[in-house]
Amino acid sequence: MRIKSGKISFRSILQYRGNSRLLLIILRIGVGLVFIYASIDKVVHPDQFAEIMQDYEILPNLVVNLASLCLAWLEVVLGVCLIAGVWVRASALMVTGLTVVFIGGLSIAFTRGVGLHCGCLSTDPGGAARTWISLWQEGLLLLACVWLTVVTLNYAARGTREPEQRPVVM
Amino acid sequence: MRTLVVAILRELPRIAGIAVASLILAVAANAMHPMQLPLLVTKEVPGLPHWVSERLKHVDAQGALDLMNNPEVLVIDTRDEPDFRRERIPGAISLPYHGFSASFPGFSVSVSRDRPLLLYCYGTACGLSARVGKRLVVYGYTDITLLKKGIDAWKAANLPLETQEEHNEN
Repeated sequence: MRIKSGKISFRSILQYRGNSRLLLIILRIGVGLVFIYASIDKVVHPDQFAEIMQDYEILPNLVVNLASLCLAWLEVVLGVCLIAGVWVRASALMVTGLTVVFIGGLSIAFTRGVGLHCGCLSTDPGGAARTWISLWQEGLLLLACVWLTVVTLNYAARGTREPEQRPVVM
Repeated sequence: MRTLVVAILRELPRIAGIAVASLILAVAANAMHPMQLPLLVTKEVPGLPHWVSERLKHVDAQGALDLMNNPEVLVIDTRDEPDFRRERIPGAISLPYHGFSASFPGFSVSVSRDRPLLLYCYGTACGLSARVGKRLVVYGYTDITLLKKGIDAWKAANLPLETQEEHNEN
């Protein structure tokens, strides 16, 4: 990344390929593990996750069950893809999109004054209700996802081979 | 920037592939899961399987009053603890949805599985009594009735309520 006179330009961020392949791999696997961990309780208790999704009051009741089932398994598939290094660019784009959706959903619920339990990592409704301050967790995840997406897409934009197909040089 | 957009567009088939794979896994896993949620919610509330909703009976306020003539019937308030403390249906005990996992162990020891239970929550849009009812069905309780439109219906019928002061006096 080029830093001119102490400023990081937007262009330089888009052109950033990552100077550490090891960091890319750690981040890819780390984000993948987070998504798989987050999916476990949802897959085991799909009915409880559907209840939490209903509490967000965003989707019509008609599709809440289907959406909650698909979301849980989408997290599994994305986590496996990221860890296995398969379809990394598409997976990175999707985890970024999902995290934006999570943050958006929580923000809408907070704005409406709905006190809810995130359902992010656990489907137990007994935990502490989420607040604006607790959004830092999703913010951190979003940063990691955006970084992963930008780096992997830059490989594609430059016409280089996919990062998962290149030999790891440390 | 244009090349980056092209790179994103090139990922669309893979994104669709991940979405379809997730949908297939979700439907297949749901078919094998003990809860087996209906994919589209037409009659029941989200997160409630057909086989559970078939075991839940519903009564209006007058029906609930008639039911309470049976001394065996245990009235259960599924609202949050502060609301229960403020006012409740006379004789009700608290088993809140947002604290079910903490309250249930004590409840299960003291209440037999075949005891008739009458559950209520806040009002028309409230699904908490159905959610707690579902958990009780899963844990083996066999005679569960839900008060339609919750404590709002009870109040609308001008039926008596018990407040904290009255409870302390007793």
